[in-house]
Amino acid sequence: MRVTQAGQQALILANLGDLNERLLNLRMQASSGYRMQDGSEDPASYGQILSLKSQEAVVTAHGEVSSRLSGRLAYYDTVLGQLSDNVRNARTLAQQGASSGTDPTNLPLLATQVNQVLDTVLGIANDQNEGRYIFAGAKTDSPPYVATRLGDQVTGVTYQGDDRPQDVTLDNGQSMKFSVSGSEVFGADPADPNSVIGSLIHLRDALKAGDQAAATASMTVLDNVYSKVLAARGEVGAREQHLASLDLLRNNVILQLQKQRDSVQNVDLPTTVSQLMQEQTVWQSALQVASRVDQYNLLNMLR
Amino acid sequence: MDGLRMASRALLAQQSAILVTGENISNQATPGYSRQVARLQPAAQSGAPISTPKGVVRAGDGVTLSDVERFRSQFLDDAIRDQTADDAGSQVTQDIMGRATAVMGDTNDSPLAMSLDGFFQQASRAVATPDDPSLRQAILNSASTLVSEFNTRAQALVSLRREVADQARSGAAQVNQILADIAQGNVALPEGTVEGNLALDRRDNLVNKLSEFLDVQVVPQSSGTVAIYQDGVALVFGRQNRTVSVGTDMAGNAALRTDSGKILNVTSGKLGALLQAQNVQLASFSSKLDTQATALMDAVNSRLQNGYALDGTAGSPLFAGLGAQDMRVAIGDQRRLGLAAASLQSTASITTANSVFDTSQALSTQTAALVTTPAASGVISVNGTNVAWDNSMSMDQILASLSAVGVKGRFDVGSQKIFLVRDPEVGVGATVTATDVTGNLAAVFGVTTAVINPGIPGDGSVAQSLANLTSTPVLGIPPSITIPQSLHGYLTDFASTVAGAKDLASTSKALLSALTQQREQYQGVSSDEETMNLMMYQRAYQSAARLATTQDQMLDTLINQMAR
Repeated sequence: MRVTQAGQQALILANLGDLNERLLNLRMQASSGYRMQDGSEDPASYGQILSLKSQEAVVTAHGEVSSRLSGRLAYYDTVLGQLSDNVRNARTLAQQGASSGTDPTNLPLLATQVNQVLDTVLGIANDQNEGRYIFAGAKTDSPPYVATRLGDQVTGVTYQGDDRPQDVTLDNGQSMKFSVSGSEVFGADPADPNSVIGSLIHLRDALKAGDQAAATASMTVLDNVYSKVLAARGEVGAREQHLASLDLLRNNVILQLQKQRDSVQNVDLPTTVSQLMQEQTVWQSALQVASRVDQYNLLNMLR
Repeated sequence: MDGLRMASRALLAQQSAILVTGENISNQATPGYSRQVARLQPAAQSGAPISTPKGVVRAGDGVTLSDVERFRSQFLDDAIRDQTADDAGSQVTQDIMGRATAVMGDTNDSPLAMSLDGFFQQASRAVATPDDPSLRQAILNSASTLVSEFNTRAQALVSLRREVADQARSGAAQVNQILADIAQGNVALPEGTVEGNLALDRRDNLVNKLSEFLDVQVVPQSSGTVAIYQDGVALVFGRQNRTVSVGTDMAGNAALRTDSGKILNVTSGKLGALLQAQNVQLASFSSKLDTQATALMDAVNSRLQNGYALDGTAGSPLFAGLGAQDMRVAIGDQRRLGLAAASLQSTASITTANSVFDTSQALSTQTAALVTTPAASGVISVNGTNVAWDNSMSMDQILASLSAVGVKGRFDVGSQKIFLVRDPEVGVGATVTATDVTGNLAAVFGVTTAVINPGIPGDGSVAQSLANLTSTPVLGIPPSITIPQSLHGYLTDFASTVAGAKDLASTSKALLSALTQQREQYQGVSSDEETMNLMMYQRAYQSAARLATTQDQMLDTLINQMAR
């Protein structure tokens, strides 16, 4: 086999080029921490990385939504707590009014207190959180409960909100209702004597009229109303717990996704550095050989 | 005198051989140079007669240079020419794919994929509080970012195609120059001489240069010239040559054509790669990017147009444009985003007081719980489409059957009402209507006198449907593929194409290198070999000079010494 100088040099140059390219790849990996600098180096892994990142984004968004909803549910819980306290207060006033030991002349005073409770409850019904009426359903931009008054006394109330349940889709496609509609708490007809507001109006009017029998009947109604408010509060609590358990699961999911992505995307740094040192040694040897190989030819020997 | 003549022939022959060796040594680093070997042979026996016991024989006339042989393998030349075309083409393709990669920003963090994820994240965040101006504005901002990513890539691909087209035109001009140069030197070259061999090398080098641009066939002619063909068309014949230019074929694709109008089928070489890139790869990347953009626009716009804006008007399309290049955000005011869906709801509770309505049981068994007793059967028109029902069905089943006509029906336990909410993912149209054709289901639903609720600020149904696009297959792209999956497929496909180009370039280069090595072994100059030849011819020259001196001394003896 004939070996020419030009052929020899071309071969050495090609080999040095290949070595250089391998060195460059390893240096890029070590300096960036990534196994690939662009998708063409491993298209299958690249597709996997894109998919994992997308999944992470979705799960992260669910987490942010969940956090927001937790805040809203906590607010509902607080407000429903205030409502239940007021209903219990009204119940106490009803009991006082119904008591045979109560001086009938004090009944109007009790009525006044019930009226104050009524105003407070109406305020709760039209409560806002971050500028949104929380019992208005989806119609969050206007007060859901509109009262009709005679002087400072509420005589009736109509619901002008929207009872539409508000849902959000969370992890694994689970849908969760996060709103508490006015009807759930204050009844389908807020003016109904068996609803929260209606029962307070009825109790106040009964006490004003000195009707202790009606006051007695109001106690039972208020007990039912109290149970309903507690049930709504319990439902909110259950949703909060559900969100909390989803949060725990979600954190694990995110960790798993990140771990999976790291295994595909990131280099094993110790291995890469070791390979880099190895290639550098080979590179140095190749350069030394290349520098010496051309010294040995007949022309030089004949000098 | 015959001896002197013999000595002079020997001196000339060795001198010529030394010159040929010198030519090789001088050109050992010249690309495309074929080594030459001086062929010496004994001269004809026409010298002085010599008497021998066997008779009279004629002395030889020494040595003569018969030929200067050029070492060149036609087989290797043809193979290298073909491989040169493949290699040059694959290197160009790799280069173009590299530039396309830079354009697409195809790194570990694909900005396009990230901006798509970001858009859906913003939609998801707005579901619970769709009336929040900052969240609505964030949707618009993320849409702008997404549009910008599409525009940038589309425009960059267009620019790249233009650059490639320019490169092809420039390549065609270079081809024309090479063809002219080949034709100019395409004469019957004297073989067996150094000048002839060098001229042949020049012609072969030009042909090799030509094969970098396009695949050609070289046919030696009996006249000593060559004819060069491409796709059966003679580009060079004798001293005539055609010219080529980049035009378009019947299908409107870029193509190489001759000055006679013939379209050439160029399958390799730089020109082949440039044309292929223009017509196939880059065109495909652009077209598929447009598909991604239009699928996204259609899916998002149809959902938003099925919703209502904050002012109660029907939602507007968020995106406008025909493809990735002219895609733009068409909404400037976040209040115009149609994130709320219309609904129809019962005017009052549909159940009687203190009753328990089991929606999973047949309606016929729940009549006591319902304010309106359902008929035995009927047809209800929902959004203009008739839906049949009967009282053996449960409320859950009846409500589920409405999903096909773009309505999500549900019975809310809290309010004891039926809600018919427009499903933004089905059909076109923002409203919800429900009227009885026969039977009284609308009355059971309590919606006969209900007024449609257009977009209500706190309703995030459409925002939810946008967020659901991360998991919902859409029309316009292959079945069971979501928009993010489709985009990932596009980016992965792109990466695969680039990877394929790199592999092909690497393989072509290795093959060409191997063939070139083979040719170098055959026709390359070995300095060791030439040094030996030089020594050999130098010694032979010295010997011939000694012969001349000896002959001269003999003659001197004969003429000057014997005549005294």
